[in-house]
Amino acid sequence: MRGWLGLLLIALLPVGTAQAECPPVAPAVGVALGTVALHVGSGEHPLAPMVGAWGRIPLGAACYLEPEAALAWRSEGGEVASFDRRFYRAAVGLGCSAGTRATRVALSIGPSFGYRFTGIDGMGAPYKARSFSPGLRYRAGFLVPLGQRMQLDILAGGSTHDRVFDHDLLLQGGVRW
Amino acid sequence: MVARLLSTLLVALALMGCSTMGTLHGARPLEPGEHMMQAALSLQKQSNPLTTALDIPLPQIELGYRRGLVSEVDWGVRVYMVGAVADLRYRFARLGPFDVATQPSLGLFALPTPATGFGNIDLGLPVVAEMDLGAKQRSSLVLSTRAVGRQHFAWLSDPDLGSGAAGRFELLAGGGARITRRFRRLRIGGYADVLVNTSRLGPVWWTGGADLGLVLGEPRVDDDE
Repeated sequence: MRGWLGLLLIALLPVGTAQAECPPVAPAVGVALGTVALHVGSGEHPLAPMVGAWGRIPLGAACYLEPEAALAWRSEGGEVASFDRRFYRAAVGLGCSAGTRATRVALSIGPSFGYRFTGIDGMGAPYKARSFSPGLRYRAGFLVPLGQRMQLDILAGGSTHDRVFDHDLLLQGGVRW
Repeated sequence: MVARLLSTLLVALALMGCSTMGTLHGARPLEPGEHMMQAALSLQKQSNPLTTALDIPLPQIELGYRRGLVSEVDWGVRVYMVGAVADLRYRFARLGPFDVATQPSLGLFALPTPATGFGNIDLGLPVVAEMDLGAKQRSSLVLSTRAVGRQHFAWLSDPDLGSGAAGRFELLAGGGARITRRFRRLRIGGYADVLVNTSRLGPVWWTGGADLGLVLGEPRVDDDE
């Protein structure tokens, strides 16, 4: 399923209206949906769904500021214990883009702030751990304008949380003006 | 006869490398109307069980096809032993002597047997820069960097042992270089790439190889340009 989703995302790249019809980077807001490889205590990165919201503020024709907020969750039940993990992140990225067609290749970096919750149930008393940490948010991908009003971006990246890394792939849909 | 063929195939499979991640292309997409056939041979040292056990590089063979889609964009597929990869190449900038492209790809490597199997899905995001060499511009130098998200999977389905599946995600990062020489419609190339697994400590993986491509068709002007 994830493979077909990836192929669909790649197929979206040449989509986009002609360059003259829309400015390279425009103000936009929208929602994000995707998956995150969430660092867990064992050092593995199990995949979890991620949803979020984002906005874009142009800084010239090619660069932009992009505030975003996202939430991910993963629950696992086993014979010995069940795990409940949640991850919240807020970030602001400074990005720049380039393109010879309407679709633009973008790279952004900026500060982030993460909150992580882990609950373990079933090993005697329930165990809960919380962690706040500033970090670094970095992303690369494609900004795909769909006509004058719609935007569909495909961005891969990650963020640091204390000394660990999370990796994500998000599809950002929204409106531009 | 069939048994001999099967055993030969199994030996060949065991001796082959894993997913291939060499810099097989430059940053200049084929024009609409053009297409290209390509064959490549490489040696690679990755996390293949045989490589890990014997500490030797393994060979890999690939066959590829590319086609111009629209101006600045082409797509391609490659098949190799027990795997395949599809990609889209987009030249998004020209910086001085360099053409710069990205080539997002989706690859699948799988080795199934009746009772068990394993493999991985790779989502690659390379950036490739290409510049001409020499006054006649028949050769070019390609430099690439790439990040690859890899989802491993393995499954077991045995009446005695039971059934189950497991997965693991890793992020790979690296880069490579390539030289391409053009002879009319022929393209001859050589490449070398290194890759590290950022998700766990381990040796540096590398791939080195050579390839031969034949460009067919004639460029045509896009209707939408």
